[in-house]
Amino acid sequence: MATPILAAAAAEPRIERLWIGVRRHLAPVLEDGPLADRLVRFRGAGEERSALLERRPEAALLLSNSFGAALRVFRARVPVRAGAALSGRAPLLTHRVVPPSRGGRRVPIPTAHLLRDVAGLLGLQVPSLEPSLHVAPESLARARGLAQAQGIEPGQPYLVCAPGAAFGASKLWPPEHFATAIDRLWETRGLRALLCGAPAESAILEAVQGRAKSRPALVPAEQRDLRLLSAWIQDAALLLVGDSGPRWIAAALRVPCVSVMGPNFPELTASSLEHCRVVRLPGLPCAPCLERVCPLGHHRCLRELEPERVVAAALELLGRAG
Amino acid sequence: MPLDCPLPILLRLPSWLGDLVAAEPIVRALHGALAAEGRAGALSLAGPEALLPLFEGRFPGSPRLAHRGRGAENLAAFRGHGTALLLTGSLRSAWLAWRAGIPERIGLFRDGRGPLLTRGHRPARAAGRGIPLWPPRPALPRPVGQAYAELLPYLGLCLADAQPRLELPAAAEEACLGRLQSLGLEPGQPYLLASVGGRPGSAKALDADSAAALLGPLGAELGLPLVLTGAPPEAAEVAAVAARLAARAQPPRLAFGAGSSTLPELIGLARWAALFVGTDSGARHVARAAGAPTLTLLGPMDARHSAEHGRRERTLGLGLECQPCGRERCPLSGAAERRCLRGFAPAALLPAARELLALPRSPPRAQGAPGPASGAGAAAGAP
Repeated sequence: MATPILAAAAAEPRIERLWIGVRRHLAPVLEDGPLADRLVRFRGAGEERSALLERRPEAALLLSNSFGAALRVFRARVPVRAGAALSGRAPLLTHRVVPPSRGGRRVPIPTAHLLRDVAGLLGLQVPSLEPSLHVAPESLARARGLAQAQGIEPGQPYLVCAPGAAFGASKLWPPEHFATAIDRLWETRGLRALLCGAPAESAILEAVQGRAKSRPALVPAEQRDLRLLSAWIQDAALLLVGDSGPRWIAAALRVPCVSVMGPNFPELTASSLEHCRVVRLPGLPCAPCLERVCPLGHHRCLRELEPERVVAAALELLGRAG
Repeated sequence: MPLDCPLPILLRLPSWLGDLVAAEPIVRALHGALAAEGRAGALSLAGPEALLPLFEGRFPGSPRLAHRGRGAENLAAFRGHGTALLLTGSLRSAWLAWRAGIPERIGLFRDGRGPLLTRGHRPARAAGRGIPLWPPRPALPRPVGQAYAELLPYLGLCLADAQPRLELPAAAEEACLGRLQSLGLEPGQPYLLASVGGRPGSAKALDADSAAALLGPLGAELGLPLVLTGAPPEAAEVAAVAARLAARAQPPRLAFGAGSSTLPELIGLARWAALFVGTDSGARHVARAAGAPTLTLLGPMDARHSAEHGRRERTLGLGLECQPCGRERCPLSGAAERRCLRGFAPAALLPAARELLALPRSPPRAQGAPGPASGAGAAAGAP
């Protein structure tokens, strides 16, 4: 979602030097693109602070809403600190966006809108909120080779299924539902599934694979990373995902995507929907709750979301894509 | 997906052309959601009579409630609606919705109208060092279309396609082709379309001398015939520019001749133009939404107000210390007056113009042809 802001900052003539601070495990998403040489990778708060002290930027544009991010640039004495006034960090910022509110409470708006507003604090114009990513030919070739090793031949249409969610258990659609959905798409469209996820999500991937009759492919954990995930998504006919990051990779690569959403506000991610269908269960009094674990213990927002509705959304997208 | 609001809906449209263009995705999303259930008639489009032709031939089944100006709204026609979605910012529009007895009134809480609304929110604002405390709660310069999209969830919708798209109705297509042929332009012949629009003396408009000094050489350098266009109130300005160009032996092919370009005709002129050049005016937004490669000269307005959907647009600004001032009348005098627009030299426009001309032409889409789905399909609930 932040890639349009990064592109605008890179193109801004008033900015003589631009560094893009990014968590080390996320950097591969950007490493094939034109901003790769501007990336400053850090593993944690300590490395981030060291990077700030070493480079002494004149301004920091915070595209993360965390208190910690604001605290680190404050402690590093960055003169201009611009960001959204969230997470209690307003006093740490020199320039801030106060998001839309009612009765003193924040109203959910698309995060992409908020990022553009934050960029505007430094006078950046962001003409389009459409994310963009690049996949290098080498990455694509490697990804195709790994997929072929799992039985997906070059040129064979397939879908990527990313059932994990770093946010928490509350965003996990049950593995049996994912399995049913990918089996149906195999039966109706002949799309074999390639299961992807972080190495730490192997248990979830194996749970889906074990329940699916259509023998989805699963790349070994040590061969999975975000750069390859981008390549696999670029080559895919469809991404089937929960409410998580790969959805935005698909948006950036203009790949049809069905996102299964549970505890989140759909308004928060209501951008780049041209090739995406967000499927959720309406009418639940407890949703959305934004909790990482279902506080009521029933997880109805995702358990009761039938696979057929997800399949229908996928078929509609695939039909439009021709 | 059923909308989460009482029907029918009164959609109160903006009173400025640019804002109305920005509202098109909202209209399309609502109409699409209702039409999918056979209830297009449950959406009423209320707006200025002069601007509603922008949607001529579109949104079938949705009645238009046109008014001639401020104070001329037909309150009786507003009654009977279940929901009012206000894409206007005025206190008056909220008051009228309340007076009409509309139970749900949705909009931005601004200009004192919060108590008159039932759903909505305070707009985003900027705060911090260097940002003035007066006027109170300074609004953040942000695209107006973005603010509109953020109101749709109150009706149960999320916007799937946020790109404004203007279509050319069949009747206007014929009139437009006729207009171009009368100007001596063959079908398919590329031309440079320019708007010199703006109220007389407006800081947002190019004065006649500046416009002629820019457009004449630009058209000559690009090898494109120049077509000038303007709205009816801009007749004198357009004629003045044309006269100056004629004096330079660079006469434009006036689209503004006997009668102004209607809004549908403007859509057509923009659709077929190789390039549109103008200031931050309503015509700019029409041209952009019609698919014309657009070169916009930014004067007093903050670029962040309209910095969206600009893949086929380039904006140029001089970066003066006094910019952006946001004023309708330039507060400076003498040589500095309106320098933010007068200061452009033709050569400064050429690189951006050539870059735009190199873009692939977007093919005209016939009215009613399938486009990206919007509205209800994006956030699917019950099938």
